[in-house]
Amino acid sequence: MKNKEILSRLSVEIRNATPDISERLSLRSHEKKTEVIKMSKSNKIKKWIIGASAAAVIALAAGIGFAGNQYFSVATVIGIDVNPSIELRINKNDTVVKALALNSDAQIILDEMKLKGVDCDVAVNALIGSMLKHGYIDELKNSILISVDNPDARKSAELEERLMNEINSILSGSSVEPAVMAQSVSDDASLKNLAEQYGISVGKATLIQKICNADPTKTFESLAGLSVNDLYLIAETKSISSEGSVTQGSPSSASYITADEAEQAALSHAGISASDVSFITCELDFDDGIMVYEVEFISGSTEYDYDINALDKSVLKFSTERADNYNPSGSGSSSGSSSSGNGSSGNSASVTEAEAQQAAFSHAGVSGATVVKAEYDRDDNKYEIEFIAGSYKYEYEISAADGRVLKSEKEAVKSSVSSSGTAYSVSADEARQKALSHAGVTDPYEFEIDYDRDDNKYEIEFKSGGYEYSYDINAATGEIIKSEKERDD
Amino acid sequence: MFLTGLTSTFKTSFKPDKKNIPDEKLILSLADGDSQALAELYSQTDSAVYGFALSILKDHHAAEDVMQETYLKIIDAAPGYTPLGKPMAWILTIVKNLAFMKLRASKGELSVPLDESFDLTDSSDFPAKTVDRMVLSGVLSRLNDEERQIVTLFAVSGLKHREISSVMGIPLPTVLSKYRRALTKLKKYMEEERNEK
Repeated sequence: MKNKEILSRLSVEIRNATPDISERLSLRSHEKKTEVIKMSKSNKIKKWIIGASAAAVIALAAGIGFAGNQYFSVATVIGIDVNPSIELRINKNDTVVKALALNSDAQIILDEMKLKGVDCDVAVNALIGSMLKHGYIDELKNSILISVDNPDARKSAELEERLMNEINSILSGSSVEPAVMAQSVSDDASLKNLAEQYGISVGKATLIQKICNADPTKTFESLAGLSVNDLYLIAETKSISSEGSVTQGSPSSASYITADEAEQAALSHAGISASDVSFITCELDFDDGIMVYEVEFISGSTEYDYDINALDKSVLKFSTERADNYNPSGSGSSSGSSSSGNGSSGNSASVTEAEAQQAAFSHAGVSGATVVKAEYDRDDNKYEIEFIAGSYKYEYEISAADGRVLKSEKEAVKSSVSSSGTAYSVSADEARQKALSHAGVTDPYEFEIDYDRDDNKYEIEFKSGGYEYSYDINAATGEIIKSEKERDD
Repeated sequence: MFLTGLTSTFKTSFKPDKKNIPDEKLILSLADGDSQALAELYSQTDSAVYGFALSILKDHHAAEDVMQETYLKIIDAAPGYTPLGKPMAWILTIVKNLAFMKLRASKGELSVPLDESFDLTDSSDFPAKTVDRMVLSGVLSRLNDEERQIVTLFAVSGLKHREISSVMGIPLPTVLSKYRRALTKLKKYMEEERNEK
């Protein structure tokens, strides 16, 4: 039975199993309409703020009533950072005493509503709803930073959790999957000064401080202008300790190119194909005012270091250096370090180690490789050379007398790429292209592609011109592992 | 098997039927209070909504509840809907949130053995007639949580692998490998079942 048949059967079976609730629904939705009038104040605000005119919020907030002077003393300061940075000062009954706009975006949001005297949950709900409506929160910018400043740790934690739930509930009806980070901020005077100096909230300053602590090359100044989403992305790649903070969801990196694309950009700039690369790392970072991917890889005995602009794939920086000590197999000696004892016995090596290496490379058909072992065997007057190129490990014995290849072995190695977490550097689309061009087919039908994580390969099947084709493509190197073609009956 | 005239799509050769692609305009009309829009949206999405809820909860009654809550939520949230051309992903994200909320709320209660929570032969549990439920029972009994959700989404939603990856918050390569593994397990299950007969 084919995948397709299983899926269409499943689809039919589920359709048959689906209960009919249409009648109940139209009843319920009718009931719901009458319910609106009876809703609690919190729900009312929630209902209105999504999409409804902001004027309604003003009216409702005013209607809820303002308690009086005894509530004026501030017990807790809540910072909300998306890009608008807003500070809510609330009293011990969690009622908003003052709402402050910390930047111009925040001004736009706050201009529309009057939050004084409103319950803090309701206020946060209204603010998030308004930010959603104004496009400050969307799929590309889904990060929300909540910072609670209250000397009582238990109270802080309780508020953090409450507000987090509130945010989740308001966003659960939108297409945005929020990434919320809630943190407690300490009453640190120097941090407050910094926040004031750069015109950002104490919460954002706290997050920046954490990043600076984790990565000393970063300065507070360089990070101060970043959005919360970018900061959160960087914090994630640096695995900033979540001490004192609760996180939920992941920040969106959808506005940036993917790590794969960054790797491709670096490789194509270097003029190296993925198959000649034995090690690759790719990390999103912030450098000189822009979000970049730092891509590092080794090809032959050269280490490449690239900074790729995460917005447009342009190459911002690159450097190369010899990777003499790179030794992916973990055994053997590094290149060239153990050729010794030349000529002390009856045998004499008239071929140099470099020549022997070259002979092995050209026999293997590789232009560059990472040499993991190069030894001169005095007794047999030969060189033993082991190297890694692409996803293969080669073992050669080269005669030291005339450079002949005495023995050659080639085996596939688990490339170190797969252990670094970014297993597949070949996109599914590239794999598809590879298979089609190998088959010489431009009009495939019933095309299927699967990714096999265990073997890090793509399995591709398609039909064309009366034949059924089947390919396995290495997802790290793009190499065709298997190709089959048979008549389709 | 050979389907004539079936042109290839990159993601798969399996074509979900048209019924599965909801019209975005319906959500917008719904926001304007058009009650006919709900009926239409419901008819386009009911099996996707139910199927995905079932794949998360593994319980017919719970899935039915979530189904109902989902449409109420859609009515509530329609005014805030931003047309991005992904109405199904939007709806299924709501299903996911509600289903997981239910799963958390009833932690322990729903995790009764599968046979008890979901009796395929019990007509009250599953308003079934004599229709064969072989694949579905394989999905519910043999697959782990993510495999079950991915393969169900794939069968009922018409979403592409990439969209499934974003709805579920699972990286694309993982979605692809779990999808593949799920189908392998199902094939094996079907063969075993057939041999038993």
